[in-house]
Amino acid sequence: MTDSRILSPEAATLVDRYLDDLARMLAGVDPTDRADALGSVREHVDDALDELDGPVTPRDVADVLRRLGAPEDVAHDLLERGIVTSNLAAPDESHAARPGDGVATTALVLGVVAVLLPVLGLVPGVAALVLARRARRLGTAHEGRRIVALVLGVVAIVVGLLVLAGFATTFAFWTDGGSQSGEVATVAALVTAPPAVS
Amino acid sequence: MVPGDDAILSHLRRGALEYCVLALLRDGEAYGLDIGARLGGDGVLLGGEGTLYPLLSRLRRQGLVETSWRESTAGPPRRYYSLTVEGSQALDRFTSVWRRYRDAVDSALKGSL
Repeated sequence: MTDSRILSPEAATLVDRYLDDLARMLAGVDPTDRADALGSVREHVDDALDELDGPVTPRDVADVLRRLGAPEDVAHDLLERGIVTSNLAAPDESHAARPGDGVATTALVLGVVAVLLPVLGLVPGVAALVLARRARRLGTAHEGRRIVALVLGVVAIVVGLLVLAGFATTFAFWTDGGSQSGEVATVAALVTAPPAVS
Repeated sequence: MVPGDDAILSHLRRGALEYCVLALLRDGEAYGLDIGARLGGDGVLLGGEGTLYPLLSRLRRQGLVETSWRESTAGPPRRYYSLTVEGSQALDRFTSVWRRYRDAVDSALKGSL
């Protein structure tokens, strides 16, 4: 490392305050990136001050820091260029409106409708699945809605198909089995017969 | 809203600055402050010098540049930056992509006049 010049307390405070501010601005940044960025900026300051002739004055330090740019600008620039990476899950990205948002919401509404309508729900259920897939392709900030729509769509389709299958079986039972089996007739008679009066 | 010069430059710089740094090192090693002075003179390529050293540090971690300490005539030793073989290849690749990009932008801009 360089043998930095010994700064007056006033000049050293300026440098420390600048680096503290920058460190605060980079609070959400990956620790390695952050340490690396802060270390390299300090090295820059040391280098720039080493270039100067004569004793370093607070004004020299202020000049060097001004050329670096304001801590918030430097932090913003470093993040924007990807020189440091944020630890936080890019909050701007996840809250910003995305093209598939409307589609995801529509899919959710269709999913709810589909679940509420036992057999007719097959149609909105399929539509909810299609739209949920489209929302994924377009990208959406409402990932939760999309997934719920997907689940509701699947549930509606499965329930709808089961009910249809139930109807079909019952229908087949009545038409085929009814004539051949006495049991069915007995059951039917029991079900439809008025309660016996003793 | 029409974006200001600074906003446009900041967008354009985003992908190009690191290659401009590599290009400055093509003809030989350079000292950090010197790179800053050559890039930052007019404020077009480099907004503030605060970005440069972290960028150099990242290029070093990526293996695109390497550093060595040299004695200077006055003052303490200085860290010099030079291109690695990989850095040189990255620069060549960027140069050819950049030409295609620049030509496409130029012809689009001319077409709109």
